[in-house]
Amino acid sequence: MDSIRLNQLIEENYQKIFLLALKMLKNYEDAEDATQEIFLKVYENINSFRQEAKFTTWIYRIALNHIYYMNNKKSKEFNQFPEAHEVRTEMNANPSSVLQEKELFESLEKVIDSLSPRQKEVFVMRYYDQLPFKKIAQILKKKLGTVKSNYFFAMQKIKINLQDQNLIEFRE
Amino acid sequence: MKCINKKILFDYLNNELSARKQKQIAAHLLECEHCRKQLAEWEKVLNITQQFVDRDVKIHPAPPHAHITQRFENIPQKTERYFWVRYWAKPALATAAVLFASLIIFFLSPKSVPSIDRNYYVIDNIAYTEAIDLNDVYLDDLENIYLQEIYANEELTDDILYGDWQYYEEVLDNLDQDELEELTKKMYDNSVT
Ligand SMILES: [Zn+2]
Repeated sequence: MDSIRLNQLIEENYQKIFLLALKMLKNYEDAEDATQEIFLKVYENINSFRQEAKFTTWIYRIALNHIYYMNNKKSKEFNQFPEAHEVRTEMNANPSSVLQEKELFESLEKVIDSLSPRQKEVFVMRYYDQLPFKKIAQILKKKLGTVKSNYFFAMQKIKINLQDQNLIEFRE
Repeated sequence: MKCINKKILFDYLNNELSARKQKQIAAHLLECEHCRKQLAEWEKVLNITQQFVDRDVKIHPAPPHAHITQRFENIPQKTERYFWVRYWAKPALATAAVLFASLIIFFLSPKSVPSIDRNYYVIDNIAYTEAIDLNDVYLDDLENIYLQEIYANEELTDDILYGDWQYYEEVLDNLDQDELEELTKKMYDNSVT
C-alpha cells in the first residue's frame, strides 16, 4: 500500500476511531491519545497487512484492543471507572424546545455511557459508523446472533430509560 | 398469528429478517394495532438516538492529526517475516476446525427436523424461517434459533438486559445434545406453515 492511499484510509477512519475511543474511554484527552497511538500501530504494521478490503476490520481490531488495554490500565491505576467526559451543548433548534432537547440528550448520553463495554462497542460501530452487523461480527470475531443481541439489548436499555423518564411521549 | 415478539419486531424494523418473514410481519402489522404501536415506539427511539448521534458526531470532530501522517514518514515499518504464519497457517487451521465442527454437528443433528437436501435443514416457525446450509453458516444460524427462544422468554430477556449477557452465551454453548434436540424439536412443533 503506498503512502498516499494509506493517508487517505487514515483520513477516512480517523474520526470514527476517535469517536469509538471517546465513547469507550469517556475522556476527551484519553481518546485523543488513544487514537494517535492506534494509528501509529496501524502504520507500524501496515506491511503485514495485505487485503485493503479488510482494512476496516483490521483497524477496528487494533483500536478495540488498544482501548480495552487502556481501560484496564486506567482502572488498575485509579481503581475506578473513568469519569464521564464533559458534554458540550450546542443547540440550534427553536428556543422553546431547547431545554427539553437538552434534557433528552443528556439523558441519552448517560444511558449510553452506562451500557456494558460489549453493548457499547456494538452500538457505536452500528450507530456512529453505520457498519453492517456482519462486519461488526467479523471485527469482534463473534457470532452474528451475539452481535445483534448486544445491539438489541443496548437499544432496549435506551428505550426503557426514555420511557421511565417520560422523556418522549409514547401515547397517541 | 399471535403478536410479534419484541426482538423479532426490532429485527423487522432493521430489515434483518428473511424476505418471507418481513412479509409475514408486515401482514400482521396491518391487522394488529398493538404491534403497530410497539413499532411506532421503536421508530421513535431509533429516531431520537440517531439525532443524538448526529449531534454528538458534529460536536466532536476528529482532533487535528496532520502531524501523525507526517510522523509516519520517520517510523520504521515492521518486516513481513510472519506473513505466512499470520495469513495462511491460521486461516487454514481455523477452516479445518470449522469443517470438523460442521461434521460433528451434521452427524449429531436432531433427526426430527426434515431435510430437503443432504446439506440443508429447513426451519420454519414464528421466530425463524430459513433453509440452513450446513456447509456455510450453520453454526451461527443454529445459535440464532436458540437466541430467538431466549428472546421469547420475557423473564430471561430482562435478566439478559440487566445481567451478564456472556453468561447466556455460555449457557447456549453448553447445551448438551439432548437439550439441543429437545429445543429444536419444540421449536419445530410450534412452527407455522
Ligand atoms: Zn400483534
